[in-house]
Amino acid sequence: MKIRLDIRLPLSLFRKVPFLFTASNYKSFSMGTPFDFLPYHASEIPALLPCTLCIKEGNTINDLLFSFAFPFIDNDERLVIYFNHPVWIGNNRDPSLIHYLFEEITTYFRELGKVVLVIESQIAYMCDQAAKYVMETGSSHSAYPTSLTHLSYDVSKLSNLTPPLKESLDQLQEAGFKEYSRLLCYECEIETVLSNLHVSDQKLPYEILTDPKDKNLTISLEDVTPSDMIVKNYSFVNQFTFISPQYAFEFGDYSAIGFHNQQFIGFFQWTPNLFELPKSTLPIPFLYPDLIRTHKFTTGKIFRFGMKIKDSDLFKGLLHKTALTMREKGVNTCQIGYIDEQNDFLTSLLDRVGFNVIHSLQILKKEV
Amino acid sequence: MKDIDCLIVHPTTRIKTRSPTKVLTNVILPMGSIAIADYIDRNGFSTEIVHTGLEEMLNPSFTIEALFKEYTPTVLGIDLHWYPHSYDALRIAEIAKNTYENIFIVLGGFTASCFTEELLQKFEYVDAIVKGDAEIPMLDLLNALPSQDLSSVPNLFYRENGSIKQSKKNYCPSQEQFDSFNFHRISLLRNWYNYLQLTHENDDLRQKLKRQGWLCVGRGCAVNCSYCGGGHNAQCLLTGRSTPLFRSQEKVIETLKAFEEMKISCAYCDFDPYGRTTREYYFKLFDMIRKEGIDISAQFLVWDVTSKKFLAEFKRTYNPLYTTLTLSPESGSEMVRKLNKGFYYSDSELFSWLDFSKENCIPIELYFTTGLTGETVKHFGETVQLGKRVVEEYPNIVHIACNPIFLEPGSPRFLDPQKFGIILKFSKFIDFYLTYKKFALGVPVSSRLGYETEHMTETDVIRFANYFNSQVNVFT
Repeated sequence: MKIRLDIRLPLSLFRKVPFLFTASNYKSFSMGTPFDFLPYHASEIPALLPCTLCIKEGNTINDLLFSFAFPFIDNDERLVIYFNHPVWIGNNRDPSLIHYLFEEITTYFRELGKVVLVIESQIAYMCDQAAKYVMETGSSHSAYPTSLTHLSYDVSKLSNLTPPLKESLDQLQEAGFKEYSRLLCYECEIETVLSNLHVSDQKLPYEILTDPKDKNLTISLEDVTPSDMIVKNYSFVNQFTFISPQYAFEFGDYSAIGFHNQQFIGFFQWTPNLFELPKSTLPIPFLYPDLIRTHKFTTGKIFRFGMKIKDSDLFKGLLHKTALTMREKGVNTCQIGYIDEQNDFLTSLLDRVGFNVIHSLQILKKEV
Repeated sequence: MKDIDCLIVHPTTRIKTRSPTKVLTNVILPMGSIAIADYIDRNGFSTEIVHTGLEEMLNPSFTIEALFKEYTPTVLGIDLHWYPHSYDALRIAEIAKNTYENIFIVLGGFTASCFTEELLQKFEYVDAIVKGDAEIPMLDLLNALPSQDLSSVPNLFYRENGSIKQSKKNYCPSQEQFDSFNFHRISLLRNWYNYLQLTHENDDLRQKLKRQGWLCVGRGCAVNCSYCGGGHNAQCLLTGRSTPLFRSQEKVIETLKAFEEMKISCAYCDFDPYGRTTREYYFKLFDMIRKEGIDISAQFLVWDVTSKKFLAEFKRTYNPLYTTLTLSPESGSEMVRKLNKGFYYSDSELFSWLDFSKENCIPIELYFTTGLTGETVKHFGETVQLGKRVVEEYPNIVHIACNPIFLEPGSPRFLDPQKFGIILKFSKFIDFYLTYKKFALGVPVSSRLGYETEHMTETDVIRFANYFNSQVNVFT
């Protein structure tokens, strides 16, 4: 009987914690092979590694713990293995298995030299303010996307299954992981956003459009690089830009783009909460775009934004336009994700508009 | 050295290329090999299965010669079910005989069954061939070998005093016998856990999300497709089976439960011998899977369009993670489809079926072919048009491909080429053998497919399939 690392995705994970897979090669997921390969030195690394810790006893295999790994090469040409939240599969919830999982993964990559391990830990209601808000409003959990990766767990199911928070964090920190960042997800009713913003298009020195493709001012968001932005959410601060930027344009005007004197100065991208779709569309909702187009979503989430100037009016203008579009589409709750806890400009601005923290992600890091 | 009563070896097709230096293809084991191994092992004869391709993937320095330094089997069984193993199966047999003069070598499977006498005439190191189903004949063979009287072994072709004999006894399993076989004792295969990583015939051990198990639901077919070597007539000819035989649902459930224990996440199921005429068997099976709480995905191949009810029941039954339904319209031309397929459906029926699949949120795989009887360049153009249309209108299609038809021994077009507008380039086993030998040696071959049609050269058939795949893709 030996604990081992298997590269596979157990079915039971999906039954326990439904998830959405929305990488650009989503069609390969059903075939069990959504593997693009990253060239790294002389080798090729799969761009998605489902890591399962299991015990093999005779012909029976018992799964214990699971985490998806998304390897990528950072700007310093280092190999980074980004993990989303580990999930218990079996009944054995010995916290030391978490340590063991990452040891095994480190061994797996050892021959490639130095590796940076980054873990995304889902922490629901981590602060008193969030807990109070959820208690008072009975609010929903974090909407899609709940992760910086292509794979979003339904965090409402995750909270019952994950390792006890304190013990798992202790284990990771004992294993040398350091907290790198905390990212907040905020929520507010659309009507509250609109009434608190006090924005009218005429007063803004900016032109905010939802569909720039029809104008001469067309820009391609794929050309917008993180370094162009001085106000941005976490996905632009770091290289963990897994969420496909093209996605927001696939289903119509899910963006707000700001111009000043016909020059691009900032944008918001949002998505309806795909967890609201019928369960039959799981885990690959993009296979059913007609349903996405016609479904009446109640929550929308701003998952990416960037501004070339630090200007609260521009932020409010983009938010206002986004909230209007959401309302037009029947959405009544707005979430905004991946706000770095340390970003006082954004956190105070969102507080003033009436947003409340409902969820957070802790990013832990270790170089091995 | 391991003394063993019976070693069953799966040959893998080796193709020599420039880079990488070789490719291993046709890596999937016939499901019957597991049932045979289990049956003889349960009856007191020690048995193992070795998959030469898997061994080579795990250990690049693996050789057949080294294998026979590890094992000294009394009987060596080699599956020659699929014709791409024509050369490799015989190469293994030759090496084994050169290593152990007294080893008894028996071949089985559809290709071997199709060419019994030619094989025994031309390859002296082959001692016998089981024609048709082989579970009970293999056990009887092991029992009969000490007496050297093989005449009582059913379905057996063998040598006796320099001549080729055929056993008088025939065997085709009854329902009861068929249900007594175990198709899930995969642990009899060396390195079985790695084998579960192989998900299609040309796969390798690169990491993937799922683990696949090959689910035996039954044997046989009620119809004849022009290109298929496993159709109704071929079954009658090679196995004596005149009607399809299903395993009882209870036995299939048993296999699925074993799959769950082995953490097999996807059951590959390719048995739909009556098409839409009747699928009552599956309605009962789906119901039992749900009642038993079996959690598994399915890569399920239907041989005909299905009812809306079937799709809804299918959707309710399987874990959606890796579940897909596969259909092979083969051609965009209704006329060509009708000429070639045992189960014909019109474009309109195809589109209705795709509509249902979309409504039920079921991922679909679609397959087309080139080289069909009666197919002209114009018909191929219709195939491309149909492919483009379905990809555009059905985003739930997760895979679409067009493959050239290879000549299958025992298929209607092989048996009666003139009737099917085919000019054969392979007509005997030796033609298949020499072609795959040349592939293994990296020598150019004069024919890959084994035929051309009255409307298309072999080059056209291959070129058109490539053209389809370049033009029609789910990611474009």
